[in-house]
Amino acid sequence: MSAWSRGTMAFAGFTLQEYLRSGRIAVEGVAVLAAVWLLFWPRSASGLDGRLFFSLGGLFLLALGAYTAMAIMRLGNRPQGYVLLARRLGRSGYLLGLYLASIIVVLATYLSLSLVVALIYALYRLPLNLTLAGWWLGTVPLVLDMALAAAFMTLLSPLVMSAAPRLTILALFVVALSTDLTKMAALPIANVLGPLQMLLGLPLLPVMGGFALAVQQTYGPGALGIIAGQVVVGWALLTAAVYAFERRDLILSS
Amino acid sequence: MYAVETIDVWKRFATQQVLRGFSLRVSPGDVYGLLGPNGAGKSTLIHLLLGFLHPDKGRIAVLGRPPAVAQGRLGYLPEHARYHTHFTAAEYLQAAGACSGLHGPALRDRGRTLLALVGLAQDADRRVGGFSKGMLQRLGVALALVHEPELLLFDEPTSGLDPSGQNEMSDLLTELRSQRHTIVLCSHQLLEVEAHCDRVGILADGVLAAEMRVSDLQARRVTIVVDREGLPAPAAAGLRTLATDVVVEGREIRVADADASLQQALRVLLDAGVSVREVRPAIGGLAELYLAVMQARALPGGRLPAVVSDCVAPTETAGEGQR
Repeated sequence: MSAWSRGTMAFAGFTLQEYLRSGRIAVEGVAVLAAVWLLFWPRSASGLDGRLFFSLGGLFLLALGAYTAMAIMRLGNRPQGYVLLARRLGRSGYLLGLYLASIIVVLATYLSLSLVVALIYALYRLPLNLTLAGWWLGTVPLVLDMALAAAFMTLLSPLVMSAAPRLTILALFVVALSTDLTKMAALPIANVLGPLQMLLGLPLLPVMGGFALAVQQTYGPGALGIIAGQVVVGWALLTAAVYAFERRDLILSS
Repeated sequence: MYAVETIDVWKRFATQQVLRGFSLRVSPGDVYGLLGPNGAGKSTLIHLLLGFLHPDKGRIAVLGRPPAVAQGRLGYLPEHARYHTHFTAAEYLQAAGACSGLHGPALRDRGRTLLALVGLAQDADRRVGGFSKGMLQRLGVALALVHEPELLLFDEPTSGLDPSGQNEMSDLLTELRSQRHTIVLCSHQLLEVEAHCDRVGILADGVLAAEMRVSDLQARRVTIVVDREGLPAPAAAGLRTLATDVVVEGREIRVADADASLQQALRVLLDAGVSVREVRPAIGGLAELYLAVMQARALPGGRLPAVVSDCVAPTETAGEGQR
């Protein structure tokens, strides 16, 4: 392992330790307990449906993953970061270390949620209509979506970009997500918005596809394409974040 | 190869032009003191050298490479002691070393050695959150040294420290200097700079306004004040024959503060019947020199007074922006 890789891993570990020791992890802990109580607590004898677990749990985890990534990026955007940045780690190692730490927290949150839900259903002797194989099949695309959401939040963090490009990316994201814009806009604008929306919506296809794959846990002919798409989009977002971070003037917030 | 070389560096933040063609060269093994008023751009320069900021214009080489490439070979002590408070000093040093790619028993030994060097061996297992400002600064020095850097960048190391903290930091600087570290030291503490640095630069209005060797300042000249302007011909001729540089300005005659030259000059003057009213140092020290430079900068077309320009070396690093 190169000194840079070792440094990046060490920094991710350091960030994780700080996240735990500072008590910030309590937010994820409370959120998991709240999700278990509100979404998955057995209120009838019908047991847990795997599709429900991945749809509700997936949405919850995507939102929580985005929060965690933002929180850890904020942790990196403090003057304390200067003494670590001035090392072989460099900017790319610093940003990837923060990202890695957020992914580990997100993964741990997901595993905790899965474990707590399984334990509760076992305790109440209720059927868990989700096999281990089904759980794995749902987990892979869901985790990739969470990693993708974290990469998007990394790109959008104030540590990586200044306000103007962040707002531009957010605006493009809104355009990509909106379905009625072309109908609402005047014709000349609709002519531009239509193709733009289609173009911007392309990276969202693997995200949506991945979510559907997690909910269904049935891998059809296009499943591997979706997973590959998730990896490519996630990689592209992370590369863009590192590129932007390398080029900006670094003034860590006080 | 210079440890630090900046050539005609410009840097602007929003409406504020901080550096205007700043040029500097620091040789390996030198301790270079950078003085300047608040907001002069000293911290900006340090951040440019560390690659945290990019220059708008100009070239920066640190240890012969662009700052981003040299980063792992630099040690940095920031001005404001802000550290991760949830770790013990020993854990922090371990983590900082690991971020530099170090690992294993060698890193642990290095951590222990450094904590002893900065006087924190007893506090190795205390959380950094409970440290005093002086202890944080000393920890900062250990953090800067953990990966055995080739160049140290210290930004106001004694800022906000009480007198005993300043003494401890001063002792540390003496120790580092004795180990032949190359150091760029930004400071407001003129005595500290005079005590520890080989060369001193004054940053004002975004340029290197003056630069001098501290040894030149210490081998300072003396001013002989006489009773009249315009020396009698024998006195003027006698002074001209002295080996040392003699500058006559009005009633003041400046000579090198070497016993022989001073005595020879005094003998020439007294033999020629000139009354000597006073003999005093031509310049009081770095503080006086600094103030003179800053005052000269404030005046339109500000030329340095001759007494100051005697001590100020023509900056070998004068850049385009200063000409």
